[in-house]
Amino acid sequence: MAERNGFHALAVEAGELSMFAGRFFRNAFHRRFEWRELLRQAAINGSGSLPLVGITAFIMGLVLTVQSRPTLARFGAESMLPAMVAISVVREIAPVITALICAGKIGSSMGAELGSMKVTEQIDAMEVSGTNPFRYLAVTRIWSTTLMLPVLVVLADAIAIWASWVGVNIRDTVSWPLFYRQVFDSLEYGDILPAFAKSYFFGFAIGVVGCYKGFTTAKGTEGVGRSAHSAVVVASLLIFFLDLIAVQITDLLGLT
Amino acid sequence: MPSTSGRSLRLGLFVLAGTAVLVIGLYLLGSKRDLFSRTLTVEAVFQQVGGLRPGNNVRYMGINVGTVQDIAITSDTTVRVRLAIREEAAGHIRTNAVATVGTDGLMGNRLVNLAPGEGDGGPLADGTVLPSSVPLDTDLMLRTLDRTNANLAAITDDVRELAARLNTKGNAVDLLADTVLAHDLSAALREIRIAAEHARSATAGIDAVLGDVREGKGVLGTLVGDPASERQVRGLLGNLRQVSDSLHAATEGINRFAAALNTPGGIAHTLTADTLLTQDLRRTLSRLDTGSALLNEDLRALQRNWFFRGYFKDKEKVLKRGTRTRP
Repeated sequence: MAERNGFHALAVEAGELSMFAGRFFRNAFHRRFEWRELLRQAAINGSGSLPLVGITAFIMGLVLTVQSRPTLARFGAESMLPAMVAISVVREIAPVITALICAGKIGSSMGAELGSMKVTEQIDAMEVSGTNPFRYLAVTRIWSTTLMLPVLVVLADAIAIWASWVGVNIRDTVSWPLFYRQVFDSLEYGDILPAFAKSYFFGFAIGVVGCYKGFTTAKGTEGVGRSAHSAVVVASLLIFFLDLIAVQITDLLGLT
Repeated sequence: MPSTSGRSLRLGLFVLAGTAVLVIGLYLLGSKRDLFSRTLTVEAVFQQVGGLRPGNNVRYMGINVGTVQDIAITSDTTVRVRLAIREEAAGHIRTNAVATVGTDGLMGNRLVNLAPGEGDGGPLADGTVLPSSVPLDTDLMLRTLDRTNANLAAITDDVRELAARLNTKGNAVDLLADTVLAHDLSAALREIRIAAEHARSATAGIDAVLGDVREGKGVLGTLVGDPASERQVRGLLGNLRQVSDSLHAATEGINRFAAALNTPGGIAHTLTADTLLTQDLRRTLSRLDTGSALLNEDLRALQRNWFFRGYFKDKEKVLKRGTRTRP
């Protein structure tokens, strides 16, 4: 029965999450839009996440380069290192790692912040005072993650590729102009654009899950912790599911 | 809590940086495919393009000058490839440039190589059809290599067989290993060397003689060099000619004589060819024979005649005396 309950709970959660997403779309383009709050959230979720994302991207680029070198060197294909790292980073590593980092940082903070607002009845108070809490709190947050994640991903791409150049230069000496030429020679629009497009969905998933978990927090302060934690888990899982769907779509479109 | 303007500034920088990176990245990718530069479209017709795709590079003398824009099959044996050549590079390419489909490195992407053609060609224009040459086909190379390998294997077998035969007893290797033969050979070579030395000294001798002759020394030299001797020799030769002329005349006389002899009615002809004369001669001879036998008898009878007996007795006495004194 536990399994059935688990599946039942999952189905209910999926349904509620979809309804929450639908509610967002109904309010997303409302003419009374909270621009100021959007900018505030964008600053927190976008530029505020850059240090963390930047460090992660730098380490990923460097580590990937250093780890791949022995295998490529065995085939005498060290000159393919920039191309290999660039394609891996741009197509998969930068979007997914950035999204996971943001799911951890932004999803948990949203779940906790909105959850504590919920349990302390601040959201209800907002409603009473005539402000639409969903438009003010949820729509701005979801828009901010949706719009900021692609920017973070692009910057993560650049940082990881630069880190890869640093990694190549630990053993070899390759000039930056040659390196970036090799990188761009290997890249196609089919590498960048699908990755860029899917990062919007990753950002949307992080925002929706974070806000949903915050808005549905119950059972006091314990519930706030649970919301923060489950926001990270669900958002991360959702990112992988979306990645799976995205890769199949790009494959069907012949972009891989 | 950071001020709103500071936060906005950071957000603005963040968004601008992200957008700039994206735009630059897309531009670099686009420039790789010549999306943002002015290009000329030229065409080349190939029999096969070996996996060439739109977007592959076009190189002129090893430099990227454009990309493959479009590939279309025009007939069952021809493929038309449209090439987008950047305008600034197209100024250096002539209409007689030869297009070939090649590979970037050993395993790299396909590309179109343009090489300058022979002679002068006009400047490129939109729609120019460039001449093409048959590309280097790796499959064909491998097939040829396969054939070469088979030949090589056959040759190796032959060489191995030959080596095995050489190694068996009584063959070339034995011949090579035979020390006696080597000794003989070296002795022969020594002899040849000595002979050559002799020949050299003989040549030197001849040389010296010829030198003497040239200088007019010795009999030959005198003969060759002295004008008086020359005159004598000339005289001698003149006499010889006269003698030979006389001999010639005499021979002709003898010939005529012999011919006369041999003509029917001549002596020789009668002797050799006339059968009647032969019979007459034989008869005459047999008569002579009979006559001489009769005469012989008559003479013996005459010896016993008393008139001549004394003479023959005296003769016998003289003969006997002669044999006694001559022991």
